[in-house]
Amino acid sequence: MKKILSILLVLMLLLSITACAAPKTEEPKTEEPSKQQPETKEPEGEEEPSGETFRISTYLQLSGSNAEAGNNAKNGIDLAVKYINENGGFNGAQVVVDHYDTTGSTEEAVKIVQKVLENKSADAIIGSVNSNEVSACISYINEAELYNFGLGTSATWMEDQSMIWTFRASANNNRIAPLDVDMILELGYDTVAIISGTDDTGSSTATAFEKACAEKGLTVTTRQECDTADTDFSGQITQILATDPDTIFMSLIGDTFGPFVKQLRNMGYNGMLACKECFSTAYQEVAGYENSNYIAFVYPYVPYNSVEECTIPYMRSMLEKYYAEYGKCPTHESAYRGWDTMMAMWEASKIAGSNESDALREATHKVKIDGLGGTLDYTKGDREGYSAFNSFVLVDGQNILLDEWLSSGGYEAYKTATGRDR
Amino acid sequence: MFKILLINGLIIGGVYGLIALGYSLIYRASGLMSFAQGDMITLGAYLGLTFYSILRLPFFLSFILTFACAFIVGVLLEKGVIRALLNKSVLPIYIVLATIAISYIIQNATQALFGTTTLRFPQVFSTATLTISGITAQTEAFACLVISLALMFLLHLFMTKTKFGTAMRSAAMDPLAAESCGINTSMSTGITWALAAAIASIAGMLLGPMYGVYTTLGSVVGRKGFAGAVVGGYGNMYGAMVGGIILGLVETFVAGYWTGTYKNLIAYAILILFLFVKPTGIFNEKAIQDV
Amino acid sequence: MNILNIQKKLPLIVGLAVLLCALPFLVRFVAGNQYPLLIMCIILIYIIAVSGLDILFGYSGQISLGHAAFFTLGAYTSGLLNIYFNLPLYLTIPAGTILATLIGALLAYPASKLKFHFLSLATVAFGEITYYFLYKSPGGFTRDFKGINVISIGFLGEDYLKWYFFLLAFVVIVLLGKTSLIKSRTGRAFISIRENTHAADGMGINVRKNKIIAFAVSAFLTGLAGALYVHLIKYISPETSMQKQSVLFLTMLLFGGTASIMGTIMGVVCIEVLMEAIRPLQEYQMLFYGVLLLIVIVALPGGIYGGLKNVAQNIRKAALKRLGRNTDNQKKVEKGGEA
Repeated sequence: MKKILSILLVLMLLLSITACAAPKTEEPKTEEPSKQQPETKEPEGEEEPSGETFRISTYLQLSGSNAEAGNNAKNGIDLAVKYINENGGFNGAQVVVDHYDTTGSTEEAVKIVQKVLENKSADAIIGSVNSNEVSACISYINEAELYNFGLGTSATWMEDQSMIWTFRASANNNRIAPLDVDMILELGYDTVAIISGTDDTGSSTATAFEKACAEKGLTVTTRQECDTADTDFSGQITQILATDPDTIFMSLIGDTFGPFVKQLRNMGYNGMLACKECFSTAYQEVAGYENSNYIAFVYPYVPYNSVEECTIPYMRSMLEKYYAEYGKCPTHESAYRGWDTMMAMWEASKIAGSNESDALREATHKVKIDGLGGTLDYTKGDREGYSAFNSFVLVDGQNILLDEWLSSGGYEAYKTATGRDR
Repeated sequence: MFKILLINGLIIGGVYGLIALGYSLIYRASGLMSFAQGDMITLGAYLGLTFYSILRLPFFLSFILTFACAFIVGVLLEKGVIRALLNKSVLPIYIVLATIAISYIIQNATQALFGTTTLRFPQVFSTATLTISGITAQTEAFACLVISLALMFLLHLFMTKTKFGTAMRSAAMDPLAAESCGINTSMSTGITWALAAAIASIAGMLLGPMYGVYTTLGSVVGRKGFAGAVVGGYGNMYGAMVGGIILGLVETFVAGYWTGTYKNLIAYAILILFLFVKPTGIFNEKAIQDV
Repeated sequence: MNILNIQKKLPLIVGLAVLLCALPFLVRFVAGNQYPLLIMCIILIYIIAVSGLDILFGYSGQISLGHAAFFTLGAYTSGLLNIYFNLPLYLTIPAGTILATLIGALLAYPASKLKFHFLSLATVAFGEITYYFLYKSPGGFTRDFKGINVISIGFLGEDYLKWYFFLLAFVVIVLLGKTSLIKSRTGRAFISIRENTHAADGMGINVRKNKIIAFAVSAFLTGLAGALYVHLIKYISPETSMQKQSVLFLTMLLFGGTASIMGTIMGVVCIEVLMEAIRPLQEYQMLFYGVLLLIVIVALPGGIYGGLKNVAQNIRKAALKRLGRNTDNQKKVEKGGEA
């Protein structure tokens, strides 16, 4: 028994060593030349050989406690790649994506990026939904001068202006935070309490929000923090409710949203909530639909429970493709981020007429396309796609534009439904 | 405010107590330590979800089925892994590591089967919330507290008053002597692990409706449950419950009166403090001695 | 270790040295890039770390499920000194190592009283506390969740070939040191504590003191590994101190086999290569790892080195037996022929 097993294990190891060595060594070296025999073709470029590939590596959290966002982003990217390949690819090159799982570890993300960079196995890298991971990896990618898109929404990693190889096709929370304050003021509230996660996005957004509150004259009654893997928030909620705020601003991460809202509602708060991002269907599922009422947020796009719900033509066409491919609507908005990212890259490749990182980077500054959440405009030179956002409010499972909701008497209905005076 | 925190602390303490009960049971009856107890909660939650939400069986039936399935998983675990290792008379660390491997397997197998989406566990009780003297909380949360207290009494009675319980304890104390007295130690440890898994599955069925069902549901509370078990006195049923409740109260009061930032750190600080200062716990369980 | 013995082994040692020196060039030539070299460097670092764990667990019989915390503490000290004061390698690495050793000794002082299971619990708690402290430090001096991006200073830079020889020197020193420690009076004390604590006590060995020494030495090596690691990878984040990394170290040790130099090396090489190889499995890699871990523990508690030793012995025995049996059979055949 022992004998057979140890032999088996050794065999397996030998196999895995060869398996591990094979892609590691051959992929970068032999794959490109072997697929397109004449090696001189790349500099010519113009011919757009059909056998060429454009390799993208992604590092996403695909397993572990906040993997839902990563998996949705993966789906969004895969869907967009399929669409792009059906429509000519990157200047005729078929796009191939290698996904890597960071398992939620920042260090693993760094190792993956180092592996990809050392192997030279990618023509571009798409970063993680977790801003922690992007922050850690961004400098290596920029040092290697590789075309890169980040998927997180934290402001931190885009603040460094020297990271010229990195772009973003998702929202920047620090731009949204002041708008959140405006929205809360528009609703007529004077005081707000903040609950923030201890991760990159959660804490940086809460800080930006707090700063905007001070500037715009909104009183922050308290700021509470919770760990990213926590599930019980009764202590924090008690402290928040003791300060009796008009509304509560939630700057949390993935899995904590659902339980937080549920416990908040169970503990008797039925008023308006403000959220740093749209309240994804995955969160609503856990919080309970009856508890996910009256959540206001500023964001480029909103989640949909079904394709029919969506009235925006471009978004709807994406949702139809997504539904056809995966049999459900995206459960997290990171699927939109993945799609937008690929579309922005595609447009850049069209403008550049080349798939070289340098040309793609130059061309991205000329990209101006319709994204899922409005115009993705990179011509301002700040490497950010979205700059205009809408205010929404989630009522009875529907994400309604705040202005529409206010003008149709929604606010009065809210007051009578909750018995609150504000 | 004090009352709200008290009730909520008791509720989350009940959860920790339920987990600590599992640890204490395993330690009392087999002298071993399991790191997979938290993930048994996850497994129980997914099993319950499968029966109740996917197969749409009545709650009582799915409860029994989950309990039974977890019991069988526990038996298999003991027979396939723990017993195999005990027979080789390896160091206890191999058993600890084996349970860690099992926890990896449960976390990742449930992910492979059910995906990464946090699933909604439908409400068990017809009323969503319950109000006791002005304090509102989820009905399942109260149920959790009541059930864990009831289980504590039952387990304690089982371990001290029944013949089988006595046999289990003696098997843990001195397997050789127990064997020579005609006690089937293999069966008694088997039942122990099965019972512990079944208790965890109950916890899973109760936590599911509260937090939703996801692959790491039990792992964080599972590790914190150790603190509860040690505070009370590792191996003592009442101690597990009391320790769990103390942990829940301290955590909630710190988060309620001071800050929630270091909430998880507190559990581990309490754990290490008790291990260093009073390893026998509040109930002075004499299981822990060394040179 | 007399001269005669060394002379006998000299060809082996020279051969090994030549192989170890030639290996990186060979690998770089075959692979055509630096990545396999980086993995080799990580393997060398992990050999140091796991050697530390081996001294604690393999030789002195104390368990730690929080060794990653020492690794991380060494790395953070080394990394923080680098980013705040721009200190060179030869100052930051000793600083990280010393801090990890001190904390190891401090932790060991109360922890050495604890029994097996409870020691593992205490070390788990220690790892988690380290994590939460680094993740949300007072004033944010550890840069919290962001982790540390270390700036490369000094002669090594990003040339992994240089790194390889630099680390190889460390590994050789560490392994020689470990061997002589084990053969020393202290090492024998460790082993006697592992075998029978009470007997060791009765023989006049100061159990508590030796346990603390074992802990400190162990933390020293693991901290050193961490301090080196942060400069190689140029990044460290708090989650490295969590249970998963500690379990990885323990897995490497148990997979290879405890209380041996070869076992440690084999365990680290096998597991690290395996972890690299299963990366394309994406979200299924941890499932695969868990199943493999379980199989190894249940079926091969002696580790792969022990298993291989057994196999070698068995093969030898079987070969001998077969030789014997063949002659028996021949005799039988001859007899049958006669009948």
